[in-house]
Amino acid sequence: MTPQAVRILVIDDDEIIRGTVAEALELDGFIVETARNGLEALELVSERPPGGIIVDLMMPVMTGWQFLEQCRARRLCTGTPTVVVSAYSKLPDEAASLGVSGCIAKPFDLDVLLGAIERAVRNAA
Amino acid sequence: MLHRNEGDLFRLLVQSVRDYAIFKLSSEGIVETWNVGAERVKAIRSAKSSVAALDRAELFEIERRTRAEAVAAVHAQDEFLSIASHELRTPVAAVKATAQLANRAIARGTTDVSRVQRHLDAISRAADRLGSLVEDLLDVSRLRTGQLQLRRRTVNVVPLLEDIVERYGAQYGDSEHEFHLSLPDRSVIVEVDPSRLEQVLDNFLSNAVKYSPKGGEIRVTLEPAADGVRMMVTDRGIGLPVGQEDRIFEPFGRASSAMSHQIPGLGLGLSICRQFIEAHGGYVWASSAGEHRGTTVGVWLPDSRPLAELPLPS
Repeated sequence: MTPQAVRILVIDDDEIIRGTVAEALELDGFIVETARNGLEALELVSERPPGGIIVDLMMPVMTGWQFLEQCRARRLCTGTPTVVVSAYSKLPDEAASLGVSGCIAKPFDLDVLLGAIERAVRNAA
Repeated sequence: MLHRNEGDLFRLLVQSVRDYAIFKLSSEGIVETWNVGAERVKAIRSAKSSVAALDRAELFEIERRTRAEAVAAVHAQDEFLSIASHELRTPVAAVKATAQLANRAIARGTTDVSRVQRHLDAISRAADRLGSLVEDLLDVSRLRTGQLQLRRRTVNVVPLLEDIVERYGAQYGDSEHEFHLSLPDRSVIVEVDPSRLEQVLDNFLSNAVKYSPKGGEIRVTLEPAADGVRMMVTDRGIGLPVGQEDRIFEPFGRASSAMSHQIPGLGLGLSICRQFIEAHGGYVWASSAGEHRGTTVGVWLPDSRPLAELPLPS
């Protein structure tokens, strides 16, 4: 699968980070959708599952974990490559069962974040 | 902690947040000797006049309570650090990622002036956010450690309010917000640290703008009140859910309406305002008719009196 065919959903409550990550992905040839919290993301993925997800954990309305748990409960996005962005660099044990492929600590390196999602998308293809 | 000591004595070590007490107990549980810390810790914990009069059950009770307080203090500190560090990481991440994005765009030859401007603007906004977070955290730290120094002066608050409302009018005049100032037709003198009062009013006004995203009138009122003066800022914004009027003045306390409207904030500003005003012998309050029905936040400050009569900040 070439990046051109892949749609990535970026979920972050911070407007600058959301826009920056989206723009960087677009520069790399991805199609990008954005959501400001887990709830908005849940609506988007139930309409059309994306090819990859970058999700922040601490967000108002619905956190990243709650979003991932809801996805699993509703059998949405099963097997979708997912990279978590978190203030903590270690993943809790339940991360694997929620299908998380990687965790990037904030403040992240754009190269590392994009590398992680590109690798995860490639491995899933 | 109970340690077996030399001979037939036991040593009971009680560690509180700032002090520690050592009691030496005989094998029958009678307190034989103690250190100065024991007298300090005991003095706050028990009405009894002599440390020797404490029995073993009381000693364990002191130890249990002191430990619970220490655990709670450490927990509060951990939570503070955890929230503060998360909040600080977000604008740092925004600055870093945007700078790296600008570099990527240059490396790929896809940059142009408008893209560069957009990136620089994002970096500047994130740096502003970082700066104001750091100021808030420093204020919280000063208040916690009692290092806040108020420079009280005799101040006429009328021109102070006129200046700040004019500044907001100039800054947000072309937005959907309209500022109105209602003043008595005389000077209103209070004994305050003018820079701190200005910080409080600035916080109230910036909240009024922030929490009325659709715009509307923002009214600032100064009026005489019982033994003092009252200053209020009223907006027509998202309002407060019933029962959350006090919550917004707690550290990290944010109204659920602010969260559901995706309005960012650490929740420190108003708690700092409350402590500033209380240090001046005044109080703050908030009221709202409910969600989407606007909010009023207010300050009451006592009438100007000789400084010696004013309560000292705690």
